[in-house]
Amino acid sequence: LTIGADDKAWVSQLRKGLVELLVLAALRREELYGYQLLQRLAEMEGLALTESTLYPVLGRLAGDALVAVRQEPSPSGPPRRYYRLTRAGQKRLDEMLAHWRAVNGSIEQLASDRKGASS
Amino acid sequence: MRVALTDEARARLDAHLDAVEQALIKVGNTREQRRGVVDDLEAQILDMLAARSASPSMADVEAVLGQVDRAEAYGMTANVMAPENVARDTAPLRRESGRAMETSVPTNVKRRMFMKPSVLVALVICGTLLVMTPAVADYLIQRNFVAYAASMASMTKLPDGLQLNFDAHPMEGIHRFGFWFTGSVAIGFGIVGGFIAFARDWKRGQ
Repeated sequence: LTIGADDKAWVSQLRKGLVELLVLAALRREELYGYQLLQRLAEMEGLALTESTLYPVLGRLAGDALVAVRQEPSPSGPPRRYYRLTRAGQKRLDEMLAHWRAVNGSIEQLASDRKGASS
Repeated sequence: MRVALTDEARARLDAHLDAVEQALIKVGNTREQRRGVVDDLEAQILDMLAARSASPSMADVEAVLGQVDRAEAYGMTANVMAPENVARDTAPLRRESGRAMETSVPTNVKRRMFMKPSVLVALVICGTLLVMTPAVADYLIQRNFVAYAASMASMTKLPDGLQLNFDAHPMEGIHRFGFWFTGSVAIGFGIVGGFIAFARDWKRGQ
């Protein structure tokens, strides 16, 4: 996916608006520690975040009890903080996904209507 | 693989983590939030160093620190994430190493209203009523409204000891001036405020 310089700011804004959803969705199936989560998102097209964006969000989600934190010793140094979704986090994720799908569906519909009208 | 850092390298890493914590303090993060962010970041940096070498050099540390966000970015990102800090102006910050995603932060400035339109309209209406009050009072006296009200009151049985004063006197000059002045000031504020609000909107739209 290549984007022009003009679209870069818009893509960045869009991604920022979706950070919580991305993090909760990434933690849906498995427990991950911060760097692991960062790498997992970087593997997906268009979802890469930087640590200064991700870690404060993780802290906030933990503060809101949407994710739970567990520490485990790390072979490379200080203990790793593993994050997993709580029941409240799962509920929040479901709500966000429902909203996202509705918005996405509406945009798709608008785009296809326009395509149909122009042809 | 446990990473063994030299004192110099450890000091450099600690300085970066301290700078990150300072940036987080500036935007009002709690101690617990700061600790979480700094611990996550330290674990990440040590993982990245471990991927390079079991005993990384100062150059390795500098290289890894060049790949992660600058400390200032944490203050800016926290701005975006904390709703109470949204009003701060946050200019984009980009890393030179150019990793997957830049930490550009929108200039998310809370729109400050000079005065609500409803307040401006209320000021103009109240001001107009105040300015008109002396003229209305004169008109009512002229039309014998006061006398009519007095006659109506005389037909109504009032409790013992209660008297109503229906003496009709034209309004005194000082009172007229008071009504006129207060009303004019209110209208003036309303109109000037409307112009300022309009000018701000227009300027914002440029």
